[in-house]
Amino acid sequence: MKKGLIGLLVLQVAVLGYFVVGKSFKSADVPKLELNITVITPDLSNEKVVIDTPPVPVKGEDPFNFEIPDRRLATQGESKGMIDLDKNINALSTFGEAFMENPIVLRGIEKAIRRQFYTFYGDFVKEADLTPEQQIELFKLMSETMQSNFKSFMTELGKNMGKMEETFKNGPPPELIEGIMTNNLAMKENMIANMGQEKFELFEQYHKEKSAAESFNNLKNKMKREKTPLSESQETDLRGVFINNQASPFQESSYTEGASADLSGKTGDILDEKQQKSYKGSRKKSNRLLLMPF
Amino acid sequence: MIKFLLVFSLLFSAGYADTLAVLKKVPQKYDYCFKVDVNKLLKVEKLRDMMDENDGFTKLEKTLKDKLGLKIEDVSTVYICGDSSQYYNLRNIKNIDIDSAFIVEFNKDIDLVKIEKEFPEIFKTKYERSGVQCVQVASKEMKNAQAAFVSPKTVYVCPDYSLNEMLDTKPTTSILANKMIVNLLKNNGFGGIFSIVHAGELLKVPAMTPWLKDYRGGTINVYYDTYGLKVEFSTNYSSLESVKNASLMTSMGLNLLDMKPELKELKELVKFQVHDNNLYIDFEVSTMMLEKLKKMAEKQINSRIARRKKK
Repeated sequence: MKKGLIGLLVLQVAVLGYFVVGKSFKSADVPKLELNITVITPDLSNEKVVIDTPPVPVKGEDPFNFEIPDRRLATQGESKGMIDLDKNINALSTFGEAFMENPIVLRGIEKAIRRQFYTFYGDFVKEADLTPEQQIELFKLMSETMQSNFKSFMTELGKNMGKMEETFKNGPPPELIEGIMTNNLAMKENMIANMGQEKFELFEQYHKEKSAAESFNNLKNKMKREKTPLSESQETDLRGVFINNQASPFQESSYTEGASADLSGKTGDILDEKQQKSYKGSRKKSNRLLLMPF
Repeated sequence: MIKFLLVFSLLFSAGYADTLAVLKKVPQKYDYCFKVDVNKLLKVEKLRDMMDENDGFTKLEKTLKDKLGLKIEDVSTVYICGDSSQYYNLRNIKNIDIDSAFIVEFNKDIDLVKIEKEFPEIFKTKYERSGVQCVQVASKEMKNAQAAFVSPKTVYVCPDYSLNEMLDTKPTTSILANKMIVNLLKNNGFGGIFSIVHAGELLKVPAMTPWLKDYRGGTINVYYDTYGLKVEFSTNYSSLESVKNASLMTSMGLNLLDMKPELKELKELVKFQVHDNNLYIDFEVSTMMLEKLKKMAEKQINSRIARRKKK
């Protein structure tokens, strides 16, 4: 009898044990609810971390029965997590940024710089007898400076496109060329470090003379077209004025002494009234001062 | 009580599910849906007048009257669905076989017997498919177009080869099986006078805007209320970098308005924001401003005409 009772007790423990252990196994088999948390770190200055938690599907929910709102929800009421570009990014003058990030614009700039290097500075490379390494270095420096200048100009312009009209009329206002001045003076330092003072001075002189000659030829052709051609003596005198007043991109004074002022006052004795009219406004001190690709 | 709750919930769901019910019948092969809420549109006289400038609205009214014996007021909503990829190489919209479907919902039941008596010519081609009364419709734009009267208030118009698909479409094989469409609808709404939802990639993008390859879908909703006109434009991109580029481009375009003082105030009408991978551009213009813009546009057009005459 006792043996029977003991046997029954053992059986009871075994059955209880089976259920307890079995239950614990069962609960371990039940898949856990997993939340995939993705942290997106936006590549923006005023970034806000958005934690994307996928919605847990409710049992029995029909994915094809949902409410379509009349209006957009994200911009109604409080707009949490919203990046207001109008106030934040737009204030950073994105015009230049967008322009310079465009691959077609970049390709165009590269092409223009290469063309300029071979046509405008080609004679300097021969005259200065630059080594291939120095030629590459000069092209690299010029390319970097011109790209930075263009970006700086477009960025400043992006803040107020109204300045475009002013630039066309009177040349670029000081705030548009401030960054350009810094870039050009940095290029000067780099050129001296790479090619030496002597070759830099040669380059500066070449740039001034070639720029003045280019501007003078443009004006001469314009006057010819407008039937107010220059006489031989006028040509010599005017060429002298152009060379003497050509601003160098590598001198700080060029930017501070009214880069946009024209030279009308200095040609009164050389040109007659008709020629003066056709000359007016066609010659700016800022010509070739800014070192731009276009 | 349970029966009452069941009936009540069905009635409630039917109240908001009109558009949803229609979208459930749009096959998944289509990636866009354009909705015109005629009920809302007719309330805005200005929009009606604008649409009728080339007698477009009058022609539509006439077609409805001539072909179906219905008034424009009887039309509730028109949906146009299609596959956007067929427009990539499209040069001439006329005389091509467009695979798109029109779903027209009416405010009142269509009396087919009455229509058949009135327009026996159309019903000469009458036939039945999947228990639905269908007729062949002559159309230059859509070859072998068929009209199916699927319910007393709903008519489908689509090419012959799409009709079976339209009639057999279930929610799981509908445009709503596209998760992006559902997300766009849920987040951006679809209740404008004109609303369009599109999901999918762009097969060709302009070289100037390479970031458009990351475009995944978008919506445009046009609203008109007592304030004036509101346009909500939303686009989604697969990368945040592309959203940034899209916003930069918007900013660039808006900055160009600064160039002319008379256009400067237009800049104030446009607001744009980024949320997650979406770019939201909103355009709000009051009724007064709308008049001003109209005058500005007229002035521009007149000055152009004058310049052409001078030349």
